[in-house]
Amino acid sequence: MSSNDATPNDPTGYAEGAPAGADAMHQGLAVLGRSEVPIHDDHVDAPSASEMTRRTAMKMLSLTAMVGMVSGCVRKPERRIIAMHDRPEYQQPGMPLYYASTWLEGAHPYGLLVKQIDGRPIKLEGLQGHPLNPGGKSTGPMQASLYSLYDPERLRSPKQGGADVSWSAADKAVVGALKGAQRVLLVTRSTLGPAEKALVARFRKAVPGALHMHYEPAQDRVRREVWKQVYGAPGEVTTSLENAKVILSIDSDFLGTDGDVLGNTRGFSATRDPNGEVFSRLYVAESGMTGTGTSADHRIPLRPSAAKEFVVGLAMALGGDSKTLSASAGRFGWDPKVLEALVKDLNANRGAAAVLAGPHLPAFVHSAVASLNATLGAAGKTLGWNPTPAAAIATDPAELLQALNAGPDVAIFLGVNPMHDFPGAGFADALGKAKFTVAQGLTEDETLAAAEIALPSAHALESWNDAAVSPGVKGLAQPMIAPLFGGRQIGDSLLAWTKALATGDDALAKTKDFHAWLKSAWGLGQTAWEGALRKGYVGSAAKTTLPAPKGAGFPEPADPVEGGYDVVLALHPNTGDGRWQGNAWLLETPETCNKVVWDNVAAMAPSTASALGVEEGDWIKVTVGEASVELPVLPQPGVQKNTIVTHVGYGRTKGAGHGNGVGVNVAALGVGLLAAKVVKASGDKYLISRTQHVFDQDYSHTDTPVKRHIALSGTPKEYAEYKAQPPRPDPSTLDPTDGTLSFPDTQKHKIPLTQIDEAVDYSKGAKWGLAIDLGQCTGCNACMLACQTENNIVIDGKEEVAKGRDMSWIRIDRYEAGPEDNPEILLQPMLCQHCDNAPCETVCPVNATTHSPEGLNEQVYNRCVGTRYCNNNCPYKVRRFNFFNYTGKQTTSPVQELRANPHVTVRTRGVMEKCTFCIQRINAAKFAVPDRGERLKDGAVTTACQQACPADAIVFGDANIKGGKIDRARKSDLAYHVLEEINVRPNVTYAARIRNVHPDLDHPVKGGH
Amino acid sequence: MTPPEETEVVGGVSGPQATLQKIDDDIAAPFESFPTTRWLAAFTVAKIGAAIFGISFVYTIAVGIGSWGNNNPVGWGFAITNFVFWIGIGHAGTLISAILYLLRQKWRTSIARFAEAMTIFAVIVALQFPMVHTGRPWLAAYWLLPLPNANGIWVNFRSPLLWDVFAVSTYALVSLMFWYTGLIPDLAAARDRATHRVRKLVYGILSLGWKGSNRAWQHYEKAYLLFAGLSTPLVLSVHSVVSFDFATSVIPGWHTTIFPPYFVAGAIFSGFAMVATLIIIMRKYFKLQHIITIDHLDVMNRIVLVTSLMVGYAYMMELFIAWYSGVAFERFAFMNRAFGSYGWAYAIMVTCNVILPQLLWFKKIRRTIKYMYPIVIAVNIGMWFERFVIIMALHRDFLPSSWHDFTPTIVDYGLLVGSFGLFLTLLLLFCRFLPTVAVAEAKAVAPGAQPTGGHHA
Repeated sequence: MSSNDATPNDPTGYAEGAPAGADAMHQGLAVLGRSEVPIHDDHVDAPSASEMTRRTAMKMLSLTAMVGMVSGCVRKPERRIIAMHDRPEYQQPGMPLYYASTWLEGAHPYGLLVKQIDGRPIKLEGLQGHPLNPGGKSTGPMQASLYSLYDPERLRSPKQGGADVSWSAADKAVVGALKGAQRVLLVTRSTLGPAEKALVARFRKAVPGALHMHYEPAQDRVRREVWKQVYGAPGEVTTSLENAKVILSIDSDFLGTDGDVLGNTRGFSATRDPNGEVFSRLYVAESGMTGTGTSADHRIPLRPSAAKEFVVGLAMALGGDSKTLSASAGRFGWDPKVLEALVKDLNANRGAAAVLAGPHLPAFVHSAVASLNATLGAAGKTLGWNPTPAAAIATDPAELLQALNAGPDVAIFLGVNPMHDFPGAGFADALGKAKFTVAQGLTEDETLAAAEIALPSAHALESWNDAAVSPGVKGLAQPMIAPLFGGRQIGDSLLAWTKALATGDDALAKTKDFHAWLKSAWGLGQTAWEGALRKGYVGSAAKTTLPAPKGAGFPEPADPVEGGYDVVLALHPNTGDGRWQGNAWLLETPETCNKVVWDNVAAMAPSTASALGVEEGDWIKVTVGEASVELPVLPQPGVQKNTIVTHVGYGRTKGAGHGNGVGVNVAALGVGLLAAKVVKASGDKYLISRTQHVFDQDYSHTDTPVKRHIALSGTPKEYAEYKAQPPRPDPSTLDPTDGTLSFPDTQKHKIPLTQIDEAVDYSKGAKWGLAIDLGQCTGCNACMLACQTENNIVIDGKEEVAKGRDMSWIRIDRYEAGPEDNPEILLQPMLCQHCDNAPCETVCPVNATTHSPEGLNEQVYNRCVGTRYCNNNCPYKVRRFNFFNYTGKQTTSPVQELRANPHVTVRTRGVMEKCTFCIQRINAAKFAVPDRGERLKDGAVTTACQQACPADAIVFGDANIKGGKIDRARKSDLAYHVLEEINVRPNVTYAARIRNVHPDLDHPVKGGH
Repeated sequence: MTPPEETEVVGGVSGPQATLQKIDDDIAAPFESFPTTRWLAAFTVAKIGAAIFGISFVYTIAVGIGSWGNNNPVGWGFAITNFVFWIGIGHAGTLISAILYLLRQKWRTSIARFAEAMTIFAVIVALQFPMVHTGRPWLAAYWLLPLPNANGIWVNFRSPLLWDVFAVSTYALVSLMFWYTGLIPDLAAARDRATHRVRKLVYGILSLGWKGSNRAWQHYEKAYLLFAGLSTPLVLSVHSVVSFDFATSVIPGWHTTIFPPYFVAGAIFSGFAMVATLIIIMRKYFKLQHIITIDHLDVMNRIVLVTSLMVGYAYMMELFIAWYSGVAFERFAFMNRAFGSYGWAYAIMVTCNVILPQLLWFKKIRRTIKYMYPIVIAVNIGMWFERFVIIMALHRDFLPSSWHDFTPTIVDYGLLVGSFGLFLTLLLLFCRFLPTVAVAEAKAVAPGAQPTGGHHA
């Protein structure tokens, strides 16, 4: 592949105006063949003969003798050394280059900034200023993309009938089958870029009668079809939640998995400052537990099949008739006071309210929600419209099945895996009816294994592409590395076949590859093209308003079955619809709400579990129609009664690497929301591996809760009362009898905390600190995955996590309080607090953990002997020990070594590790300052977690800068330190969360939890 | 202390049959005769235990600490429990040989040698654990010592683990020298009795040319006194320092000022129980009942009872202080000790260490082997669990989010069981090759050895 045009996007601006055409990629990639890696000759800095002392001479002598003995036995392998005399432009060995690109793995093409060192992409960030994602934020899957790129499981050669063949042979076979084929079926994802779409059109011209289908196993087809009918175009409703004062989510995890989550989170978090101009209120009626429900001010457990009653009742109540709603509330157990508040709020905030409904709900609900939003005047205010979204409406799976059953001559599957995730039954049989099947994918998954021709795909980061970002904006994706395993991007496959079939089309015949096709499709001059590449996108967002909904008759869904069960097949907050099931990073990241790793489980209310007579790890059998699956049970507070929530995409059998055999495949049941029969099934107790076991921060062995004051929250009333109190006393004086000095603590501060050690003066240089706003965290896990990529954090598997040995440097603690059927949730990202009076530092016998003059708690891996005393003495238990050689275990192929961030030490067995506040980034920022003594400006350093956080809940900076970010965060009256009373003097400040409960429901101060 | 009727000297060697020659013969018998089948059987069992220890040890070093049940909140598990347990066992030996010597408790002579040997072996066993429990023992083995190095990194003198290194190594060295000094006259006796050339040579070398001259005895007595003086503070300091590992931390349930005296009392408690456990068997099978008499056991049982009361007091005081402090985390830590995941271990600890030893108030129980034996065994078990219970404070400390239970693996059990095998192997070898009772000292308290005794030998 030629990648002559790849142009670094240099955020520092140094490269501005630099001549383009840098052959950076090509050159950088040439060195990637392992045998050709430039090897810096390990020449010993031996002292010259004249300097040689007797001691040195003895050393040299013994060294020589040893070398002689060893090398006498083993013949060293020959290795070539290639000097980098022909260095790519901009590239300096070991120095990062940044390229703009577009993330094409999800339905929303966010801008990407790819960090590349020595030709290897090693970190992805959101692209700042990108129309979809101006903050340059990330989702977890975005961060984890690199795992899939370097996944050794990827298919390495085209295969025909299971045997390796060359690309030309494979192409010949495909073209041969296509020639003269009467019925051809082309199945792709719904997220083809404009250039790919154009190519598909050419393909269909060359292959008359070819059918093209968009296959998405769990995409919101129903909702999109409703929108198409009510709003008159196959578009997508967009949100501007920054304008919303009241948001109602009906089973929509809009902050986690549903829709443009980065945009939703950005808008939502903008309104979540209790001292800000607008402090929005979020109502969530949901079936399972999601990050969105966690962030709710009022959460109503909702039986999903009763969503119709909810919406209809609400619509009538807004019209002044609240009888239906209260009747339904009585029937389904909704809190009437909360509903009353909701109706009041919506009525009072017309024009500043939005209602969002989850994709799995029936069409009737979506159309009702559309009219509800029209009633509330959401159009143009809180909701917008994208008539040309990146994702097309997915084809009805029944149509695909029908087309296959008709026995097509050729069926081509590009980037989809219906053999695994086809909703419902019958796909395998139908596939057998196709006379010739071709499948292309990253790994040899179930569909590739079943196909006659299996082709390795290039990863999105190895491919050229474009995307319809938003109205008026087009994004570009450029390859960051040559295909590692000889894969070819889907566009190139289509182009090759079309070229072979469309005889006589000279223009097409001259199109060398998809890159050329893309470039000609864009039709830009070289300078404009390079500019576009450097920027990552072109155009500016056009304003489009949500049309007024047209009434459309959708059938009313059936009433909830009394005594029956609802089953929700939800998207997983990490692995989505299962497309990232081979990504072990995402598998080992805990699910936001139940903290389960490496599994999909049947989450159900504890009361439902006891009604079924099952406990954690028991099995249930879920039957929908003819199909049934057995799932392990997890009783989870907050899940709606008689509702089973589980995640799709699990249970892979082929091509998922570590993901093979993980979880249960529920695709056979169907898609979305289903009515099911549920019974207890026999089976051995199943080990469900979770990173957290106790969710009650006031856990006690008696009836009196132990007030720990770890994660703090309060209501507006409590906050107002707290603010009205006299100024807070000196934070160094605390009352140890009642936990932490913090909001909304009463003021009983007796014992001054003193420090025995000499106080260190941190005022000269920087003093690093981090602040986390609990009111903003939605539990999306992006910080965890960003940290994993940035800091080379290992995964160690389900069993090790079950033993309590998860390796995350930052984790999101989750605390529940209140009634089991609808607890209040608090999330608390927890990482090394970099205590100034660190208990870990005093106890290390070998001085392997020390304090830096800038207030960092440093861990010296080379010096660590692994007594684990530091972690024992860590009150936050944020240190992570390498109980085995995890790095070695997870590295099943040398290619994975390319993924590692070269600026962070890879840890070995027996060594303690922990959050470093991204010290490599601090140092990089210092190097970038021309005068080394110069003080870094506020915001000059961003930690990986901070950079990724879509809600901007994390702030990092120099606490010595007066009025700086950290200074401001620490002076907030919501600020507190966790476990302040034990005098470890942490450098991470938390801001208590204010739950914006409706004033009618705000209870008087009882001393928060 | 009322002298029992059948003895002439308080706590002395009893019975009319205890002539000085017979003392020599009886004590020398085990190492001068061919090993009995009983010894061989015991040795085989012990060797199997030691082999289990060796395998578990090597496996841990080869694979990593992951082969144990330890996890992120529970950084220490069986290994440190075993370490503290075995170090504690050692204390009785030093107490008997040093403090009781300085206090002129003559009854100690019969058991001192054995108790000292036990100290040495217990310390040897204990020392295996701090090394193997580190993540990188090949580095820990010398980085924990204050050796100058090219990196210019010094050890951290603020770390209690480093204090441990000094305390335990000092203890091991002093105990070894003390023990060896005491052995010299007896080694010389063994040399003099030896008939085989090899035995003569080995014992000859080991006895450092001891001739039994008046001068030599004078020097010997001085040296012995000196070592007794040196060892005495160690009895108090070693376990105090070991307790600092916990006491100086911030973890609720560890951060406790009562730990140093409580640990010392516990160490003496467990040490005496272990001495009694072993010596009851030894005196029977080596037929030394007339040298190690029921009076000795009675006295030891009294010490067990006293120290049991001390640890019982400490247990109660811990609970009281946790409640009295009002600190939520402390209160919870102690509630959790009793009612948490390891409440069963706490129950075993209290039963074995406080409740059962109360039976020793009864003289009959103190002086009857079959009654006292289960009690001292229980104390051994209880004291192991005491350390386990303390270390398990880690499983639920401050943040409930990080709480996690500890489940030991087969390697953990291998090291625990194997440590007893290693200990017994060393002990059996000692019984086989060295005099288990200080011959010279035993003679000094034998009937007729005293100038006032009336019988001049």
